[in-house]
Amino acid sequence: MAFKKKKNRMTQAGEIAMPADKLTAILEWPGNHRWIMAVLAVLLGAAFMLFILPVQEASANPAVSAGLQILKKVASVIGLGAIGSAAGGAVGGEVADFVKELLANGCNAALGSIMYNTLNFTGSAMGADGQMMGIFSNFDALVGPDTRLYEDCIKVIHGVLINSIGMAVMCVCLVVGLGKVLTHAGQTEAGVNLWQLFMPFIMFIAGSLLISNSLVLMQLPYDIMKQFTDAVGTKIALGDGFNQTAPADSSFITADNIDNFSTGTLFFTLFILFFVWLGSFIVAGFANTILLFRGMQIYAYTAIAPIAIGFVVADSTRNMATGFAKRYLAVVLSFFIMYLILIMASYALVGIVNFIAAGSNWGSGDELLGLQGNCLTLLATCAACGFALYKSGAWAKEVVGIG
Amino acid sequence: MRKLIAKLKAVRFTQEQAYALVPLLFIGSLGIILAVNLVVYLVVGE
Repeated sequence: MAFKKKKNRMTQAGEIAMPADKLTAILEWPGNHRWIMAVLAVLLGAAFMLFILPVQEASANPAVSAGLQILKKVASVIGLGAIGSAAGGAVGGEVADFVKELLANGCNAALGSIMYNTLNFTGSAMGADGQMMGIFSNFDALVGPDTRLYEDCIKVIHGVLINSIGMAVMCVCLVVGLGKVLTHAGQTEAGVNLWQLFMPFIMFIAGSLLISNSLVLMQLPYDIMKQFTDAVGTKIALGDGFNQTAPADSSFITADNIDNFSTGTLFFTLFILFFVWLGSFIVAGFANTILLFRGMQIYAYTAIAPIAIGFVVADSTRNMATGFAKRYLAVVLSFFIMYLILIMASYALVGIVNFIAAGSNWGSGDELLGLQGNCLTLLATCAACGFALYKSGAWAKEVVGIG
Repeated sequence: MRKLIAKLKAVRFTQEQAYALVPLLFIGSLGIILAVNLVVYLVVGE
C-alpha cells in the first residue's frame, strides 16, 4: 500500500506530483493557524537578532554581510505577513488606509505645488509686493539683483568697445563715404557740391556723439518703456492680479472628505496631477528663462552698441546701424508686450487657481473629474502664456517692421 | 534750413578742390565734437 502511494506520486517526467487537495490543505494551514505563524515569525526574528546579527557584526566578509542583510529583510517580510495574516486583515486595513492617506497627501502636495508654480509664473517676474524683478527691474538689475554685472562688466566692456572698435569702425566708414563722394566728383565736370562734401563729416560728428553717449541712448528706450509699464501698473492696480499668493492651506483632500474617494481615484488623480505639476513647473521655469533672456539680450545689445552705431557714418553701411536700432527697439518693446502677457496670465491663472481652491467644483461622486479638468485647463493656460512670452519678440519685431 | 542747404548745394568744387577741403573739414568736425563734449561736460558734469 505504501509502495503504491509512493508510485502514484511519481510522474513519467520524474517530477514529484502532489495531489491538489493535499496542496490546498498545506496552503490553507497557515491561514487556519495564523497565531502559530505569528509566533513562528517572532521566533524567527528573535533567532536572527540573537544568533545571526552577532555573526554579521563579527564577519569581515562583505559578501556574508550582504547575504545576511537580505536574509534579515526576508525574515521581516515573512514576519510582517504572518502577523498581518494573524491579525485577520486588521493590519492590511491599516496599510490600505495608510496608502490612501499617502495618495491624498500626494494630491494635496501636487495641487499646492501647481498653484505655487502658476502663481510663480507672474510672481517671480512681478515680485510679491509688485516690486519688479528681472527685466521689469531697473536697467542696472536686468539680470538678477546684483548691480555689479552692469556697473563693473557691461559698462566696462562698452567703454572698451567705444575707444577700440567703435571709433575705428566709424573712421573706416568715414573714409568709405568720403571716397565715394570724391570719386563721384571726379566722374563729372560739375564736381561735387558743398552739401555732398559736408554730409560724411556731419554724419561723422553725429556718429561720434552717438557712440560717446551710446550708453545713455541705449538706456533711454528702456526707461521710457518702464515709464509706460509703471503707468499701466498704477492705472490697473497691480494688486488685483499680481499680488495673489497660493492658498495658505493646501489641504484639499482632508480627513473629512477622504472617504468620498476610492484609493484608485486618488491614485489616478495623483497620476494626472503629476503631469500637470510637471507642465506648470516647466512653463514657470521657461517664463523666468525668457525674462532673464531678454535682460541678457538688452545687456548684450548695450555692450556692442558702439560697433553698430559706428556704421551710421557711411551711406552704404547705414542700414546696418538702423537695423540694429530697430532690433534693439523691438527687444525693448517686447518687454512691454511681456508685461501685458503677464497681466493677462496672472488674471487667467489666479482665476483658475481660486476656482480649484474653492473645492466646490471637483466633480460629483468619486471621480474627481472636475478637479482633473480644471488642472488641465490650468496647464493649458500656463502653456499658452509661456508660448505667448516666447513669441513676444516676434510680435515686437512685427510692430517695428522687421518681422 | 532748406535755404541753407540750397545755398550749400549751389557751391560746387572740382575734385582737386574737394581733396584740399577734406583735411579742413575733418579738423573742423573734430573741433565741433570737442566743443559739444565740452558743453556736455560743463552742463552734465560727466
